Amino acid sequence: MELVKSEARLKNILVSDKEENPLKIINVLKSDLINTLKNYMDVSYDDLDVNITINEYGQFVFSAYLVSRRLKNLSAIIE
Amino acid sequence: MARKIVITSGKGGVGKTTITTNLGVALANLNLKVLILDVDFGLNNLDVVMGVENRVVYDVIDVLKGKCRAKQALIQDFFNPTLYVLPSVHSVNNFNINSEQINFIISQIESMFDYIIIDCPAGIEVGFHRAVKCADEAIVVTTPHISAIRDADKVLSLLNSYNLSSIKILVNRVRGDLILNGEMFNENTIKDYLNADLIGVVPEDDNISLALNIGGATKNCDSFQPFNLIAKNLHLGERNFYDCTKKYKGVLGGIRKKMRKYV
Repeated sequence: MELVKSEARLKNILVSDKEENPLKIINVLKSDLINTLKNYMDVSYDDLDVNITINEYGQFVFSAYLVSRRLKNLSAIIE
Repeated sequence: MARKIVITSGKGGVGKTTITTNLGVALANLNLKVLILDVDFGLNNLDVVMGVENRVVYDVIDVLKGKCRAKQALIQDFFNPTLYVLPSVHSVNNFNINSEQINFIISQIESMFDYIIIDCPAGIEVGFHRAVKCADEAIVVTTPHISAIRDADKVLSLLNSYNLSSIKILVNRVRGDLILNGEMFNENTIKDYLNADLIGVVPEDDNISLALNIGGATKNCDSFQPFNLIAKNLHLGERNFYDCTKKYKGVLGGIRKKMRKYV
C-alpha cells in the first residue's frame, strides 16, 4: 500500500516537473471550482481532490473527487 | 577510438564514483584498456575511491599547464594493468577548465584505450555540462528513491539535448528484501517512469561500502557480480541484470529477509 502511495507521489512529481508545473494549475483550478461549486453545495477546500495526470498517449487526464454534506435548495439556486 | 561514457546522476550521493570505479575494474577484467577520468574539479574523490591518492604526481591541471604530457599523468592500477586513472586536481585549485581543454587531453590519450569512463560531478551546473560535452554516451545513476529518480528524470531531459549515441540508466543501492515486501520500487518500475533503457542493477551491499574505505573495487566476488554483468551488457550488448531479490527467496532467503528487517 505504501508503495502504491509512493508511486502516485512519484508520478505527480515527474508530471509536475515536466508540464509547466500542474501543481500550481491544480491549486488555481481548485479555487475556481470551489467558488463555482459553493453555489450548489456545501464544500470546503479540503473536501475537493483535483488531479491532472498524463495517460499513455500523452494526453492530460483531469479528475475531481468531492464529498459534500449538503446540496443547496434547487429553487434557491434558480432564483 | 575509445568509447567515452559519462557517469552522471544529478543528485549527489547515489554512487556515481563507486559505479565508475567498479565498472572500470569490471571492463578491465574483460581485458579491455580502460581510463577512468575524474572531471569533478570541486569535490573530487576518484583518486581516494580508487586507492591511488598517494600516487598522484601530476593531474589534469598540470597537463593543461604544460608541466607534463597527458600520458605522464596517468596512474596505473595495482591490480589491473589495463586500468588507468587520470585524477582531476591534487589540491585546491582555482584554475578554470572548460570542456575543450578536457577534450584536448582526451585526444592525446584516446588511442591507448577501449573505454574512457568519465566521472561527472553532482548537479546540473557547469561541471555537469563540461563532463557531458566530453562524452559520446551517458549512464545515469539513480537509486530507488523518489528524490533520486526525480533528479535522474531532469538529467535525462538535459542529456536529450546533447548529441549522445546512447543514454542508459543504472539503478544502484537496490534492496531485494524491501522489493519483495513491496516497500521499494524495483528497477522495471523506475525504468518505465524514466522511459530509458536499463544497463544494470546494483544491490545495496556492505562489501561495496567497505571497499570505499579501503580503496579500489570491492574484492568480494559475489558483491562484484553486478558490475561484471553491467560490463558485459555494455561491451557485449548482453541484457543480463542482477536479481537483487534472489538471496531473499526460498526458506533461507525468508529468514535472511526477516533478520535484515529486525536485526
